[in-house]
Formats: sequence, C-alpha cells, structure tokens
Amino acid sequence: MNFYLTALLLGLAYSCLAYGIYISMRIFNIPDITTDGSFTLGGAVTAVLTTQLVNPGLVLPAAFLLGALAGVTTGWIHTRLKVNALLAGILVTTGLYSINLALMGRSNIPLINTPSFFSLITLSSSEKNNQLIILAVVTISLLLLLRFLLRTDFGLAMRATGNSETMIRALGLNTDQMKIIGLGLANGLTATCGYLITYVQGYADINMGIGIVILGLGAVMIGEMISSTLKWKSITGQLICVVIGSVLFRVILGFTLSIGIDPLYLKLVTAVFVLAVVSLPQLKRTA
Amino acid sequence: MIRIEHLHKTFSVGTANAVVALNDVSLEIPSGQFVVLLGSNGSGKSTLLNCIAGSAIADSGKIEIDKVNLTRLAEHRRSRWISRIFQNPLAGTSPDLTLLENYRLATLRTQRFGFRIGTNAAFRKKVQDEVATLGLQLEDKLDQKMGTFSGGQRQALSLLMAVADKAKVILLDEPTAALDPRTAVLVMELANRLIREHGLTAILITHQLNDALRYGDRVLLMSEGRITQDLQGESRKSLHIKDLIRWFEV
Repeated sequence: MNFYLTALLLGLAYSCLAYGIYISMRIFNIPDITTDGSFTLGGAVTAVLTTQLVNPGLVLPAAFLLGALAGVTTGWIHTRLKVNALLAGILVTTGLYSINLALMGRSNIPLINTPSFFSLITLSSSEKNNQLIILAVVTISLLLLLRFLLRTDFGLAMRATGNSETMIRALGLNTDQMKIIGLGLANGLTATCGYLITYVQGYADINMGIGIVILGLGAVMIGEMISSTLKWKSITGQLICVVIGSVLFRVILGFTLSIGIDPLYLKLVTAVFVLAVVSLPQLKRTA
Repeated sequence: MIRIEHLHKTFSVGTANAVVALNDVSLEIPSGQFVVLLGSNGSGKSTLLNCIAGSAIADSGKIEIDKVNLTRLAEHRRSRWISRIFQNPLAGTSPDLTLLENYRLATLRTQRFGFRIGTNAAFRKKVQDEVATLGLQLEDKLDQKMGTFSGGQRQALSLLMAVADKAKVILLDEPTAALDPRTAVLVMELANRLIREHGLTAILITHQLNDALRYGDRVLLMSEGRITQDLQGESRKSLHIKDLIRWFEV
C-alpha cells in the first residue's frame, strides 16, 4: 500500500514536469534540455528562500518565474541567434549549474523545521495523505488551466506553431515569439515541479535535475500510448493521459526498485525503459 | 492596389552560385484585378510572390499595397493585407488541429490572438454554413483532424479560410499542382468564385496554360527574373493557347 501511495504521490508531483515536456516537445516540437537546469533551479530557489523562512506561497511564483526566465533564454538563443534548439538548451543548462550552485552556496540544502508548501493547509492528520490531497488539487487545477489555455485562440496558435509554422506565419503571428513564450511556460512548469519535489523530499540537491528530462518524456510517452489505445485524442484526453503516464512511470520505477535492482542502476533502467517505449511502434511496424 | 518598383533579388550573392531571381521588376496591379503569372521553373515567379508575401526580402526596390510601403516588413506583419495559398496543401493548414480550430485561426488573421475560447456554438454554426457551400460534405466533420482530409479537401478549405477574415490580396502559388485533374478543376473554380465574390486582388502562379486562359484578367510571363509579356484588356481576350505555347518555346 505504502509503495503505491508513494508512487502516486511522486507521479502527481512529477506530472507538473510532464506537462512542461508535453508543451515543449509535443506542442512546440522542440527537444528542450533546459529542463535539467530549470528543474534544479526551481529546487534551489525553493530551498534557499524556505531556509530564509519565506512563505512557501510566495516561493511558488518565484520558482515559476525563474524557470520561465531560463526557458525564455533558451528560446531567445534558439530563435534570435539561430542556435540549434538542443544546443541552446544544453548551453543554458550548463550555465544554470553554476547559477544554481551559487544560489545554494553548497551542493545540498536540507529543509528541517522550515515551513512547507504542504503545511500551508492541513486537510488530513496523516502527513502523507495531506500531501496527496494537495498534490491532487494542484494537478487537477493545472490540468483545467492548461485545458482552458490550449483551447483559447492563443492556445490554438501555440498548437499550430509546432504543427504548421508556414500557416501560422501567414496568419500574422510571430512564430519566434510564440516559441519563446512556449519554452518559458514549459520551463516555468518544470521549475514548479522542482519546487514541489523539494518539499516532498525535504531537500534540494545540485544534482536533482540530472536526467530529469527523460523522466518527463517517459511520462508523456506512456501517456500517449494510453491516449492512442483509448482513442482519447482530444486535448482534455491527452492532458489526463499525461498525468496517468506520470503516475504509471513512477509505479514502474518503484516496482523496479522493489524487486531488488540496485538504485545505482535506476537511471540506466529509466533510459532503457524510455527507449523501449519510443521504439515500440517502430518495432511493431517492421516485425 | 499593389505597386512594385524596380525590385531586385539575388540569391547567394558574391558566390559562384549567385542566381539573379528578380531583375528590375516593376508592376502595378489595380484593386480587384486577377493576375495569372506564367514562366518556366527558375524564372522568378515564386520569388516575386515571396517578396510580396514577405517570406523573402528584396535586395532593393519597393513594394506597396494601398500606398503602404511593406518592402522590409516582416512576413507576419503583412497578414493584414495578404492571405496565401501554398502549393503544398499541407502547408496552409495545421494537421493536428481540427477543421473547426483551423478555421478559427484563419478568422483571426487581422486580429489579436486572445485568451478566450472562440470555437463556441455560434462560431460552429457559422463555419458549418460556410463549409457547406463547398459541396464537399465536410460540414459534419468539423471536429475531424485536418490531417485526415485529402489534399483537395484541404486545399478547398484553405481557400475558404483565406477569405474568412477580410483579405485584400490573395497569393496563390500553384494551388492545384499536387491535385488530381478533377479536383484541380474544383479547386480552381472555387478559387475563382471566392476571388470574384470578395473582390480580391489576386496573383496566381500556374503551369496550367488552360487555367491562364480560363481565369483572370491579365496574363504576365516571367523569364530570367524579368517580366517579358504583359497582356490585359483586348490583347488578353484575343490570347490563344498557341501564343502561350510559343512563349515557352523561345
């Protein structure tokens, strides 16, 4: 029971990251590696401000905005300086490593006896249940917010930008600007995930973002497998499936650990698993 | 009115591969005129269209629409005047968005893209009525992804979408090149009808000499970056397919 509860909890927390990846990779078709840096940035800002006893409610917008700034930087480098999107993301993430370390002052900040996002409201006497309820509320609100955004005129234009750039430019929209906004939003969400995870695990670490982009991508791809199996092709269906994908991915990773695989190999398992999910359609076709 | 003065455009300037695409092109197209632009591959037709649309910027010269100079204006800022139909039916629409969503985007060409949901019931009804005029039985498929429609259907919808938001100028770059002959006729008839109904100034690039005779008020021929033939009025009316074939023989 405890095992599945933890998986659900982490899955919900990481769905914020999965939404970030969904926006950059799926809506805008940009492989964005900034994620690794902006996730840690979100965690670093959270830990630093929380140890200064800043209200977690105020830390949230700070984390989001700084993450968004990182994404905007990548977007600007990619669109204005015409640097390949992958390289732009790697450059920003590399730079962010130093910035994060400078912010934190050391490689690890534990949060002990400090306020937490999850202590803002108490809905259940059990700490874990309380976290779970709050995370569920956050995830559902985010889902509804994105569902609204992606169906507005602006959201349609966002979706078409990654889909048919010629059309969008002919319709009078600046696609460069659109991509910058999109990467800003995606990395804002990623940093928000770093914020949530920092409170869930009770510390921030300079290496917490390494390989995190694969976690998000794995969740999005599992979600896509589900949505295409269930034929939930609408935006709402896709957004719900991203959350399901994120939780399922956690369950799978938790299961891997529970059958006794050394945690040392967790990243390897993750990479192989995502590769399997990515290549499955191709293998099916050629078989 | 479109006024083009002494337009020059060279690709790969300063290299051995330099190509002069436009060589001192001057042209005046009155409002509501339907121009057919002919020429062999590499004659500069598409470059001229791209310079007007803004996807290419001329090296020198001037382009005006209704006395507004837009020679150096970014492509997305020209959508106030210009709508485009591309040769590739995939380019003018967004495959992962539904027909209704694509149509919604098209109605916002001259407006801001705000944070409101525009695909409401009233809008759906309006699109349904307009799509029904195509006679392609697409009015019940508004929630189908654009990518699931055939090239001809998408091109017909692109045309409808091009006039959905008060355009003045429509640029058509071989809109039927990727279509089968029957669909091509349907799409050209539709284009002609919409251009006339909305009183649009139109430039059509085509390799179909029959279309050049059947449609439009004026025929232009481009060759090596220059306009070498320009027929309108009586001389356009007496134009025969043999004359056109001869143009391409020299």
